Amino acid sequence: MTIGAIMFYGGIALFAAALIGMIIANAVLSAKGKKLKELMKDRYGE
Amino acid sequence: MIKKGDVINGTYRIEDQIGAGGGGTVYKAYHLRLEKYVVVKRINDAWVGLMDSRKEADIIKNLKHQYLPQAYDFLRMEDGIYTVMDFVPGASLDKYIKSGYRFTQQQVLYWAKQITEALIYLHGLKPPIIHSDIKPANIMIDLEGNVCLIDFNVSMTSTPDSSISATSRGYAAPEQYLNITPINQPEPGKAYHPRFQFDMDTALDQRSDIYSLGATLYHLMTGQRPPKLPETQLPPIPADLPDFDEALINIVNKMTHYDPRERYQTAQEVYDDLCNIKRLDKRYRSHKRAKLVVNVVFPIIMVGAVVLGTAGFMQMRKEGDSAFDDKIAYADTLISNKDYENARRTYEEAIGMKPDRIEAYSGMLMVYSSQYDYDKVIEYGTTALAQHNFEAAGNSDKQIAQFEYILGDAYFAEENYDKAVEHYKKAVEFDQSNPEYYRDFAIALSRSAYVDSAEEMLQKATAMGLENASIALAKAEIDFAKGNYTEAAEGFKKAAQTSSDSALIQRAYLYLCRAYDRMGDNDGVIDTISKNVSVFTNDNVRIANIICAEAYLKKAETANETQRRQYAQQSIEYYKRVKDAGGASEQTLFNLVTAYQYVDDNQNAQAILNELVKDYPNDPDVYARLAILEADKQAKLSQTLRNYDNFKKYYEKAEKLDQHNRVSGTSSTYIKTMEQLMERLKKNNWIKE
Repeated sequence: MTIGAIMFYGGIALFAAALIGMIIANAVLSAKGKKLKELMKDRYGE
Repeated sequence: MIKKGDVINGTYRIEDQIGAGGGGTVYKAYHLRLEKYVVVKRINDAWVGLMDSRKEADIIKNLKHQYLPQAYDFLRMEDGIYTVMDFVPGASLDKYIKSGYRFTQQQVLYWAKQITEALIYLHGLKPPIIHSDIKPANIMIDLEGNVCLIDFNVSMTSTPDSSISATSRGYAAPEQYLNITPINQPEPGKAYHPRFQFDMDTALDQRSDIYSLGATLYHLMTGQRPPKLPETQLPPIPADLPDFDEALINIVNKMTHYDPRERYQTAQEVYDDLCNIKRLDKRYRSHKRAKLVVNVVFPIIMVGAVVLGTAGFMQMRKEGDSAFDDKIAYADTLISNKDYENARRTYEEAIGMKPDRIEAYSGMLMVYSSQYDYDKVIEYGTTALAQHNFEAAGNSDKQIAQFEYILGDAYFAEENYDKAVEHYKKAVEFDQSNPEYYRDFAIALSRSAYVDSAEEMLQKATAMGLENASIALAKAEIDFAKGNYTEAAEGFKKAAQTSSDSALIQRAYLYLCRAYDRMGDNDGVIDTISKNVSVFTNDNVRIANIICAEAYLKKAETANETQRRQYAQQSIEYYKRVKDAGGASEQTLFNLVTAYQYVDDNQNAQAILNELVKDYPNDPDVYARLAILEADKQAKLSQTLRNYDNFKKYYEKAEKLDQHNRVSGTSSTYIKTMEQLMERLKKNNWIKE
């Protein structure tokens, strides 16, 4: 495998990993955000 | 001394004393005309002399805010000054505290915001009003759960002459504790609770109210009354106070900072933080930070990945180009070494790597061209052009021009000059910097009888610096096309003699022979070839031998019997070289048969024709030549031995194969000769009808 191929396929893999990571992280944060929103409403009101 | 039942100003009947503060004493009263309860406050006598009653009256009547009581009246009576305001049904926070009520964070926050709104209003008036006595006892909670900030001291307008404040110890800001003096006296039989007058070097400002509100919130949150200043400073609320979040604790701690400069500077600032308190919450901030990280860091990584991938793609292309170029260079070397099979395979591999790069196709043309397989060059080249758009694929103009030039050369070698002109024209269109393209374009044009265009191209090539030998060669071609064979021959000679390019020299000598041939100077042809035999290489050796053999054969045709055999024998020698080298065409072999017939070597003539039958089984000319040879053989026999059965057999075969040509009137001279022989044999009764 050439350096170019390593960079190219590495870039694709990294992009895919980052995209999946971002989707998962956002899903987790979104779920946490809902709980936090309820907590904030409970603690501080509207 | 006011007591229950007293009627003030004939309007307000005192019902009960409901409070007493630094500013005065507060009573619940009944408005006799409006028939509703009001609050009447008697201003402390210590302040009376300091008040501008008319001005105070105007200010107090104009106050209007949701969380402030509405002022109705301002009375200057003999026994004191009174203000009359809305009665707020409900209870003060002080009463809640005393009852041991535990406040929730939501309640504290809700009320804090409402009080702050009231302060924003008061501080925003012109001149600003400083409440100066905010404390739980002065904050009423109405029946709907909203606050009402009562007992504000109108006289505390923040004007330069308002240097006196009435306040309650613990809730008052530290800057109010300068030169304090009690303003009340001990009363017999009662516990003494001193009230202080605070003499300020500078006027109070809104930060004092902010401190007092903070101290009030401190009390609500901790359940502990703030320590009385100035003896003890208010300690910060610990961050781990149960039931309250750090965000609110931090706001209150900032509100109650000892140094006014470290506090919130305006009520608006406090209000903003209270409204956005969740943004100060570390859990909220932590969550926001995590979202920021996710939505910034991951996209950065993705952008980085795209950059990396793009760089990788570019690098791959570069590496691919490099590998492709190496392969092409290697294949070129194989052609130089005449290893055509491996060269072809290597070019095909290169095509597999980059199907749209034209260099490999040009290489393939060179492989076939180097093997003099011009038909294959033409077939491969035209197919490649039909299947690929080399121009759109980004190949350089020079590379496309080279491809077209090689294809033009192949057509030229096949003597298809019109097609050669077509491809040479494209070559010069794509690369207008190569004079050789113009030269060969000019030669092809002259061969196609486009003499004017040929001269024009030659002029362009000359202007571009085409070398003299090439100019002479092209000019000679034009002369040849014009029929000026003598000038043409001189030009070819000059080109051959002045050039240092072996290929051009060979071309010039071959073209010179062509000029001699056209002039009927067979000796000139033979002399040119025999003197320069060592000049010719590759396929030109074959061509030179054919030209020389034809010259000898032509000489034999017109010579006497003795010389004919001699010239025919010379011709046979040259033709055999061509045949032995494997480069003999059908016509060449027919000529060799003719030469053998001149020397009466019918056996070899028959052998060659038998070979031709195998190679061209459907060619009528082959059978016509066989028939002619057979007639010649029988004619040399005595009349009694002659047998024309074989002649008839070849004749019939040739006639059968030549049906199409006969219809179109394109039968060859061999057929015609054979038919004449048949007529003669029939006429002489050698063959019956």
